[in-house]
Amino acid sequence: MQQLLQQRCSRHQQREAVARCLECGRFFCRECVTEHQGRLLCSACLSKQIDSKPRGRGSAAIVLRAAQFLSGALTIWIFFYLIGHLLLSIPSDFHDGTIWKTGLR
Amino acid sequence: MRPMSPKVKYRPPGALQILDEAVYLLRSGSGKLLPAYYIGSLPFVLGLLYFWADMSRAADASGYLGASSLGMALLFVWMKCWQSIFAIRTRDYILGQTVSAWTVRRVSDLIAVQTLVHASAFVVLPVAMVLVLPFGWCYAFYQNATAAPAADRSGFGATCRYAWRQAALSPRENHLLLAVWSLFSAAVLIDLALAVFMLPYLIKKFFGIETLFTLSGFNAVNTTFLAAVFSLAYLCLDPIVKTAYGLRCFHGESLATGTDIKTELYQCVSQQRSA
Repeated sequence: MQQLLQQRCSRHQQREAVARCLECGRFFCRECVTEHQGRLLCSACLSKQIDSKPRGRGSAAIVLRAAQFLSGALTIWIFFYLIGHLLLSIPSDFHDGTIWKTGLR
Repeated sequence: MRPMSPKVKYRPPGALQILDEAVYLLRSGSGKLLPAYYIGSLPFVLGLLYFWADMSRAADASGYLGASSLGMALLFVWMKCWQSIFAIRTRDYILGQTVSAWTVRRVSDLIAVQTLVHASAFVVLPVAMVLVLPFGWCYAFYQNATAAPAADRSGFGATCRYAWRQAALSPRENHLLLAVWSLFSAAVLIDLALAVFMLPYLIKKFFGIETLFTLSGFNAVNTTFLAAVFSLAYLCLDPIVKTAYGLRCFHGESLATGTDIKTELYQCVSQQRSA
């Protein structure tokens, strides 16, 4: 709060800052910020968010999501493959717990 | 009216309060919230136990290891997606309303992002555990990533930024939460291990049925027994930790949006209307 009181608007140096943009972190006066989906944003960050939305649509977005899913699923598959390989390499005495019995004899 | 002192700082809820709220939420809304969690987690845990026992004992298991591990990967993705749905339902339950509708785009985005984010956990979390210090932040990051769709964050970048921002908030409380949680988990794990170990003896005592485990206590000391106990503990404890991190995100976001105040006002109004 103390920090905000000492700040000036990034666009209008003569005006006191009343809010800080949650995206870029700069200070702005009342006219330069707006509420978007419950968050205070400056006009530049708001237009960036709005511009980024149409880019996410269409076939490029479908390809991107498919690539994300396949790369993630492949990594998980490799991990479980390695786990299975590790389980196979452990002697069955250890899995059954009989290794402890033979050790005690 | 006295002006508010600039020295008065907002303090986020403590670790114990978050855990208390999480348990209360799950108890009060268990019928609405828990089915979403167990639809995802039960098939994975059952699949994991089968995979474990099969790979440990079957003679020809190496022949179908690729197919089995692919099945496990798909079950893991299924579980992570349903855990996100559980986080969304928890948020809706807190707010007392359904925030946004399900669309094909939203579902496909949730599947893609959750798969990619949680795939990295297999590398990041073990490394963070070895290095010890970053573990608290990394663990919080993955829990927050599960809760990110509940906060209407879509896309890989937005989810990661959101999860990291929330993980960096009040690290002291995060580590305290993890410490309390670890102690509680250890107690639950020991309790479950003892219960599972004692079960064959109780069956013998009450029904006179002799099993392999009652012939020798050593027969219970196998890796499948340990996997079963850890899986049971996971199913008991994980909904609470997911809810706790969902609440941490909710309170963290409320610092900027004031949603917690809006929710309290909404609850006051609805209580007054019902009275």
